[in-house]
Amino acid sequence: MKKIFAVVILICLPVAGQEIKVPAGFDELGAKAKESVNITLDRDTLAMAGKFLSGDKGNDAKLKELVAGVRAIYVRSFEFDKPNQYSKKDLDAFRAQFRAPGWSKIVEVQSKEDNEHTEIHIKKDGKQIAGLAIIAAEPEELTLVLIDGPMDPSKLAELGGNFGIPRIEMGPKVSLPKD
Amino acid sequence: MSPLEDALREALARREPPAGFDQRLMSRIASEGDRSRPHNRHTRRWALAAAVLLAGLGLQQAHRQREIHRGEVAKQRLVTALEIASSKLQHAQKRVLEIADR
Repeated sequence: MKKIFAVVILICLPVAGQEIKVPAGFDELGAKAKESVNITLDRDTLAMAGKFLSGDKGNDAKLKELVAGVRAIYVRSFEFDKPNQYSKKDLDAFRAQFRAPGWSKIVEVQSKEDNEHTEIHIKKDGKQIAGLAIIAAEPEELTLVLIDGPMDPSKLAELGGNFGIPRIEMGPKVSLPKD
Repeated sequence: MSPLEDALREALARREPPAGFDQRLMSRIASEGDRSRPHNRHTRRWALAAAVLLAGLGLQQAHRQREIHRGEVAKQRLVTALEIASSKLQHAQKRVLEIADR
């Protein structure tokens, strides 16, 4: 079975006044990676992108609604030619930041068969989700996603099938806790 | 002296200009100058205004093009970021469902 390794990091969510940071080691991984994505969208960039989303209907409207109120989005994704190119220590350091108050891990999937580990963390502000982080780690792929601001994970997953995002058929949706 | 020489001498003889000729000449030159200066001034002003306007429009257009480009790039990066996030979420959901089905 073809191994697919991905890690997505959503970075820099202020947690109880503490800003989540991506370990510096991750920013240097691009040089080792076969393919890498390094996206940082701050408030100004998101506002600029928002001006180019037509808010009436269609995919743009869905996107606009989804990112309304989001302060920043950080994505780091690396695909390597060979396994174990990223530091487990850096990954643990990144993961440890989500033990801060306000954050909770809602999903953790570990597959020994595929040597794959995925975690989803959310930050709650009252009843609202105020932050979302995804860590997807495989031997040859690492993806970290951090979204600072309100984000409905179910709506984010619903983007599949739009904008060229492949929809994964998976039957009934998993309900993510709202409270 | 031949009649031809007489005619030439008569034709080439020094004659004083009529009285007041130099004042009239200078006055006319001055008046021509007064008439042409405003015309030149206005032409220059319009040319300058047109040049400034064109330069301003050019700069505005260039700025607009840069903003459009930056906006399109920002939108594309947003879409890419959400594509990655969405695919990872879907993958996690799929895994959870697979585990739940066992």
